[in-house]
Amino acid sequence: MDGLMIDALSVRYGDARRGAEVRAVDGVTLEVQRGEVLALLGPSGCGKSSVLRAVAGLEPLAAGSVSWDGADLAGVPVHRRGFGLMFQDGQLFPHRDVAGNVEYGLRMARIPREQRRARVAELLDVVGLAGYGARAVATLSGGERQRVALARALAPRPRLLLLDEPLSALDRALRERLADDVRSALVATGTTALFVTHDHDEAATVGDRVAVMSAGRLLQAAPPAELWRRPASREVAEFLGYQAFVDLDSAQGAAIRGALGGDLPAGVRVAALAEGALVVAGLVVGPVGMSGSGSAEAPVVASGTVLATAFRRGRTELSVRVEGLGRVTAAAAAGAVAAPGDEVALTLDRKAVALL
Amino acid sequence: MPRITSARQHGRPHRSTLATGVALAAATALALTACSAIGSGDDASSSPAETVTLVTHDSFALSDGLIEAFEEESGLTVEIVTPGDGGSLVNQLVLTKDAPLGDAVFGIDNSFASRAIDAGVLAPYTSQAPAAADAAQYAPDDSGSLTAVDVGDVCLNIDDTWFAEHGQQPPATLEDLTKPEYKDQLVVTNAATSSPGLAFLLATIGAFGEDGWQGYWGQLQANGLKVVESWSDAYDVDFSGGSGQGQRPIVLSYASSPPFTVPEGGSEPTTSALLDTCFRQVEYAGVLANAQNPEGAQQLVDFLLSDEVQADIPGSMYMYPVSSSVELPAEWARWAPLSDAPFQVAPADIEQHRDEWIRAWTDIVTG
Amino acid sequence: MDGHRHGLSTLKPSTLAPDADRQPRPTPPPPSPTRARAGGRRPGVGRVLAWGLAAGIPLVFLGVFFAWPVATLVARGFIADGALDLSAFAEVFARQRTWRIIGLTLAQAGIATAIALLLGIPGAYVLHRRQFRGRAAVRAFVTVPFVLPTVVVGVAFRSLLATGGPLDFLGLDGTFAAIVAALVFFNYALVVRTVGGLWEHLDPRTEQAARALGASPLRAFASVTLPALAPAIASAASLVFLFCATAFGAVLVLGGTRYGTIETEIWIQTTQFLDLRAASVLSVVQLVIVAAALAVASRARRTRERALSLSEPAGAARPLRLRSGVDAAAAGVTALVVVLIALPLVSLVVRSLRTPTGWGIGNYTALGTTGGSNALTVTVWEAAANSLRIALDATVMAVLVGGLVALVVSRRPRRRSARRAVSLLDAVFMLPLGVSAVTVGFGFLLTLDHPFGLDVDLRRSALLVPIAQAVVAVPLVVRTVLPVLRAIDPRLREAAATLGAGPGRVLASVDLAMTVRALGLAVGFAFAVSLGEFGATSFLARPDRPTLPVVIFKLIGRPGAENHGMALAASVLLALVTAGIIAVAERLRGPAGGEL
Repeated sequence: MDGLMIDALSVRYGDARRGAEVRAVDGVTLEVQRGEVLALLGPSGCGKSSVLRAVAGLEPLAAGSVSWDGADLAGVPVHRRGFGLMFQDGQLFPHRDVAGNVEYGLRMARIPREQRRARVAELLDVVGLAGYGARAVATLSGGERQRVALARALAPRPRLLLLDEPLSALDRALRERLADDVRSALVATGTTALFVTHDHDEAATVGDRVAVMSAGRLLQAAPPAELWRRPASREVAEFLGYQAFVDLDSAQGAAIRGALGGDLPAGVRVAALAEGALVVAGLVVGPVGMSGSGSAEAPVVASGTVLATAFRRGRTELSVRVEGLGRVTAAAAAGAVAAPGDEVALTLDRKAVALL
Repeated sequence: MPRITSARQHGRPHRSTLATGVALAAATALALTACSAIGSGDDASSSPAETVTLVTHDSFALSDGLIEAFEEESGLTVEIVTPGDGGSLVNQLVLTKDAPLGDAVFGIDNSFASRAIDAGVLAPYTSQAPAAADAAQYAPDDSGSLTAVDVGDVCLNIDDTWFAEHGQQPPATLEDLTKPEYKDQLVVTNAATSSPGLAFLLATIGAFGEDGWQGYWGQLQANGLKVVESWSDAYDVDFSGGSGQGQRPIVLSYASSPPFTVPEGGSEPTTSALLDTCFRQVEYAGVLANAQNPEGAQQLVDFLLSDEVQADIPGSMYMYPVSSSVELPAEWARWAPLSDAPFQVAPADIEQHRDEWIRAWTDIVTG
Repeated sequence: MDGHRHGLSTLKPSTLAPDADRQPRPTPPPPSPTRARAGGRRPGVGRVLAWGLAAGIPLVFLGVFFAWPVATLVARGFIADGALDLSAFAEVFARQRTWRIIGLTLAQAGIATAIALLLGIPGAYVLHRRQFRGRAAVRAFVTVPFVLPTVVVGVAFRSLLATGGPLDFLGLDGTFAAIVAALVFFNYALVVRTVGGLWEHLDPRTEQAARALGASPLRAFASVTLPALAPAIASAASLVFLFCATAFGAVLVLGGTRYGTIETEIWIQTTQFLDLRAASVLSVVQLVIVAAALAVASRARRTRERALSLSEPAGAARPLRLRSGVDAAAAGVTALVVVLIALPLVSLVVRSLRTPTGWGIGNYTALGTTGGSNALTVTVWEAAANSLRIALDATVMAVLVGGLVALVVSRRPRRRSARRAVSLLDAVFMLPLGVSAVTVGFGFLLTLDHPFGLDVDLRRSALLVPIAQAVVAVPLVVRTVLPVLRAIDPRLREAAATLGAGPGRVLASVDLAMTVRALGLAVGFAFAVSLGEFGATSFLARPDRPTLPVVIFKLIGRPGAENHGMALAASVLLALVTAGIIAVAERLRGPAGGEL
């Protein structure tokens, strides 16, 4: 096949003889097609970075194989794999300036100086740092450092770029902007990439496909839309951020099943609700009546008690306790007002529901 | 955009640059070390028959040209090693007697002569040089192991200027030093670590006997004796005469020291030696047992007894030649006579009791 | 952005991750050192060979030129008639003198260490945390005593304290206090550099936070800064203790018969009494004391290196403000120390200008001669040239060996056994600091006669002097380079490897490039130590090629004001050369935080 093939990969740490062994990666099989960007998503400590390090050749394999274009990479040292690696904290060479960092891989490849200079300028342009070549790395902001690190990793045209949480040390606004930039840069350079992250937004932004890992095992790999629509398991769904799970056969689930409408695929038993899947339609006044109500398209599916209100990104979010679901984050429909202690009626945003 | 091919796909031949680097660095360092400083013309590599090695103390010196003349005459190359002084020199010879540091030794003195002889460090040799007859009177025993080359007296020296300025009568004998008027005036050196210090201890043992010397040192100690580590400490720092700026006008030094205190433009020394406080030091030469070049070593011993060397000894090593046929420098004859009656202790006694005496002495002066 | 992912944000929940995960997280630690290879690919043969060579060269060097000679000599004391005989222990420990010496050693080392710390911590503050004109000069100046030859210091101190000297009125000559003063003089810079090196890296905001919470400056220092400095202080204390407990030249000159250390006692027992039994027992005792000090140092060092690697240099130091009480007090103490350090040196210079015919530079012009009555075999200038050449050789060897040790020890191998071996290597290469020069020198005499069947009597080889000096300098090189190497994030090397750098290129472009300044300092130290080394050199230097300290010692030992004046002038020359080298090395050092 073309590209990267990870076959039944296992990585272990610790000393088996001393009984202190940790299986960081346990039989992961995964492929990345040429030109594809695969996001490897999972919580901290799930083994995703170990997969990356094993692919780079920095970690010995306990079992399985890593191959490129069908050729097994066992025995090929790190510096001969032609794989680039970008760390969470950049790991820029402090004793070289920006251009010196970017051209490092080109020097190793013995590219003539003129070509190196052109390539450095080109790459700095790609990452939006044109003219930064002579700057000392110590004078750069965190975001700039990561851009330089990206340029440095891309400069020698790696066959595969491995990105190890490259954005997670940055603040959110910067992270979101850079995620788009990374995606653009990868696409612009046609680079095959394996992008490790614990942030599902980032994974969805950057990856053509997203692979979810947990506790050393691969749970599911699929394009983002498919992944979010049909998580393979509750575990995947939980990690993707789904907050509440409703058994569609239960009393509580009946209303939701009704709200989803139409024919549900066979075998679907549970609806997973993301944050904001429930929308506050209005206050419940008195034991029976409601001041606000649903419509035919969005019927009221539940009611709950407001615990707290928050304002995020210009929208009101309410923390609501719903009988049978527990505490969920509900979005407030435009104009809806509620205070802690209020009883509110909730409708369903179908786009934020996944089926299991 | 210029097309840049990645060299990695071509792949350089696999070899460990690290290993090469380390090996290269090691080779460079060795090469640099070998050629930069001192390795050149290393005598250890020349054949032993042509080289003769003299083991001696670091005060060994002869005027320019003497050794060269000997080399020319004998066809030998002389190499000199100076591993230490006094006891240290002898002890190193004892330690290395199976694989000696050289062929001949010069500088074993009478306080350590027996140790060297008893340890079997030396091979007997009787020199036929002109001064050999003069040397015979100093022979430590009749084994013929050691041949005397020069002698000297370790004596107390006094700062005549100081005593004149203070209108005080200078001391003359060892007994005088325990008198209250000489309180805090004497500085001597450590008998455990300095060669004159040990000689002076032996002088007091010769003077007061095995039973009396400890009491004497107790009195010295009570009278403000100062003990310092080395001759230079005593003479240069504590002594008021000579180059010293100290406060003590009586110092342990040599009978040969006064001529060096003739001031610039002056005609007389400002210090003098107390010739009734002396211990005679004899410096011996000998052929080392297991020497690689014993014949050369014998020639060296003869050389040390030659008139040329004997005449050079006062000026180069501040000692008196054993030869009676060479002339002393004029200022020596005038201001640095040897004692008529130095104190003596038999070499065998010294060997038997030396360590014990030094330990007892240390306990006394440590107080 | 490409179009194929349009509509995604409407499909997936918009804000999915729990808030905690959205916070920027602290940098995770580099791959845990407890990770061990659990199987899989073996390292390549070349790699094993290279690291084997890197560890092997220093081991062979230290083995042949240190361990073997020392072990041979010590064994002599414990082997009687071909059988092991440990009765020497009972015998030597039964002597009152032995206990007095051990007591004295611990007492003077302990007291000197305490005083050096008390004076050195304010010094570290002023010289590393505060900025003022001439700071670099003062820093270089206080470092001079650390590398000054003991011969010079002994003479300078005695001329200061002895009757008639400028400090005669203190009555310190030949006292315990004089020895302690000299030991503090030697080691003050060690405290300043070690503690200051960490202090530069401390984030001042922690202390500012404590002040904002209502702590007085003293309280904030005691509760925040001092604990943060603790590893460096412990590291400095154990090293100073080590140097003091093994002090030789200064104690011998200043202590006279009354005071000594185990080191001087080993020297006396070996060279004067040839009592190898006693010397061997004392060597073992000294080794135990030294090993204990080294163990404390190594523990402290580990914490310190961790602390160092976690923080960036804390920016430019603030200017010294004498109106602030803390600054004024620290500056006062430091100024006093600088004066005290200057006194013996100034006295040395002044006396070197005094000639038999009055004041002048006559002693210096005499350096071109062989002294009065041909006291020397060569002129002082020739001896100085010998010293420089020998020091060059010694430096090359020390930096090569020490650099390799630091390189090997800086690695964290996956295998547990290999990690143990690495820390053992680290400890072993510190031992030359704690073994007496006389033991090494006498050991050379026993072992280096045609070693390994070679047709060379190495005992008489001119190479032996630089080798002996290199053995002494290696620990300093290791301690200068190792912390910098250890502070390099291993992922930096991984980044270089993924960019196509082979192991050799990684070594050159990351390790070497980042340690080059520390190496410069190491070269300076090695050079200075070699220039001033006297103990082993006096045994081994060939009379036709003496070094500067040997010549100084010889001149001091000869009668005549002329020779004495030359000795002082030569001492000043040696001190100046040493200070110059340290000043240059200091400039090279830059901000990298070596231990010394």
